[in-house]
Amino acid sequence: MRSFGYYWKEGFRNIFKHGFMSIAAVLIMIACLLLTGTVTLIAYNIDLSIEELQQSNEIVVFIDESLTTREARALGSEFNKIDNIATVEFEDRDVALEKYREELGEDAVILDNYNSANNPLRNSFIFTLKDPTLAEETIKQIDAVEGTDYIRADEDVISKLIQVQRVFNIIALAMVVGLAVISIFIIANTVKLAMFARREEISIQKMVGATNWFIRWPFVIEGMVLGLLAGGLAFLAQWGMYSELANIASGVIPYFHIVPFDGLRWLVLGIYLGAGVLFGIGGSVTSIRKFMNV
Amino acid sequence: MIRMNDVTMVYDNGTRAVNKANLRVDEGEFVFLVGASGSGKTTIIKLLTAEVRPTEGRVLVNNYNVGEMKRRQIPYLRRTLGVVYQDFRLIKNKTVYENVAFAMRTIGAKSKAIKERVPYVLELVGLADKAQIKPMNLSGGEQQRVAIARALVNNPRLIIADEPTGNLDPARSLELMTLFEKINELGTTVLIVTHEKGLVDEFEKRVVMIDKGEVVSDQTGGYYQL
Repeated sequence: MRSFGYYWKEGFRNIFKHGFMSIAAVLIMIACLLLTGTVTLIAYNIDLSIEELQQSNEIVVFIDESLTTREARALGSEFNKIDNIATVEFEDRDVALEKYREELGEDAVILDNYNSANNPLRNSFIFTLKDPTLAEETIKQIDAVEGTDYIRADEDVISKLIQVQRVFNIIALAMVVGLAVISIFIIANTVKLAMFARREEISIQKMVGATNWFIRWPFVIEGMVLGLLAGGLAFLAQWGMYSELANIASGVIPYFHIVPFDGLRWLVLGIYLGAGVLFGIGGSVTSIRKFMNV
Repeated sequence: MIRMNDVTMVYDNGTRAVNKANLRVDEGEFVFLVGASGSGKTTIIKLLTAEVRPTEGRVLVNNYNVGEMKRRQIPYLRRTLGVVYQDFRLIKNKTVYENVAFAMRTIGAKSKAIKERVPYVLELVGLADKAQIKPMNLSGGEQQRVAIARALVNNPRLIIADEPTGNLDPARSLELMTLFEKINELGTTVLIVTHEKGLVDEFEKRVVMIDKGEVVSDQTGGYYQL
């Protein structure tokens, strides 16, 4: 414990003593975190939008004409039993007729002869699904409910969206993993360069009888402090960049829903600080290993 | 102190640097280890400091068995030794005081002990007035004295010096050997590796000669026999 203060003092002293390498390591870590983080956040938003599109894709079930509105409405409890259904909305045929009139506007005259007694429209249910990939199976379950007459579902659109999402996820994952690997490689090499300058100091410490951990601790602290600094600065830069990108994206693609940064703030901060510390400590400790074998 | 029994050291590339060597150095002795370049002297130093382990035989240094000790015990063996190298191995951006204090700090010494011990050792090697100077601004002889101060500061039982006068002129070499003699008189065992015949002959100490990895002669008060 006596050396605890010494480790911290040495850790901080090394940061300032090797100022240029410290700045280089922090800048490289920031660049790597920002690059990987930005791609991840863009991928996350696109993925979320695709999911929203899938979920907003409704399934409309028209009910057998022989059932009264009350009987038709009662089928709702049957549909609610189906696991994959997220929301169930009943549309009364008379309400549907009124809506249709409103939609037609001036042309609504063509419906003048229709009223609830001779309403040509049917009672219906509108569903959204929890998991669109199970659409086909869910449609079969809906069809099996007695009183269902006709189902309108854009299965093709749903399956195409699912395909798009799968391909996009693979591309995004490959990019994030690739960037992370490149980042680790660059960071490890930067730290190794910094360590190389101190190999003489390490070999002298070994020669006079320092234990491996006595040598390692200041490097661990140095790596941790630089990692935290890089993580914190990268987070602030990401915040600014994200807000700017969100403004641009919402101007260019108005229907593209972007998650506000406020909702992601703590998660991004945690990941950046964690990754910074991990890269910092990992880079330092693995880089000094080869100089320790004296 | 030092016991080497039938020690053989073969490197990974097949070079047999030490061949069935036997050596015994007792507490308080002053020994010159001599031999031509490539005779195996440096490998013996590496064996004594546990930088390499013997392929065969037994090496005992200050009661540590180098061949069988665990890696984590190596620092504790080294704390019982003070090693001086031909190229000084000083940290350039630290002052003389810091270079010496560094060795104490490295083994976890208290600040108070460091403040007391470092000036004493610098005084002993005649560098008390150069404490705040960086090594680059010192002569070769002075730099080597800093290295000796660093080797001495943790109060080792044994000082090992590998060609300590290799980079010095004859006058500085003589001064340095006199310093080693003084250190020995204060009770520390000294083992000096050298191939400088003149110096060895001047001091008339025990001389152990190595040739092709073997101890070929061992004479107390002897001379360097070519």
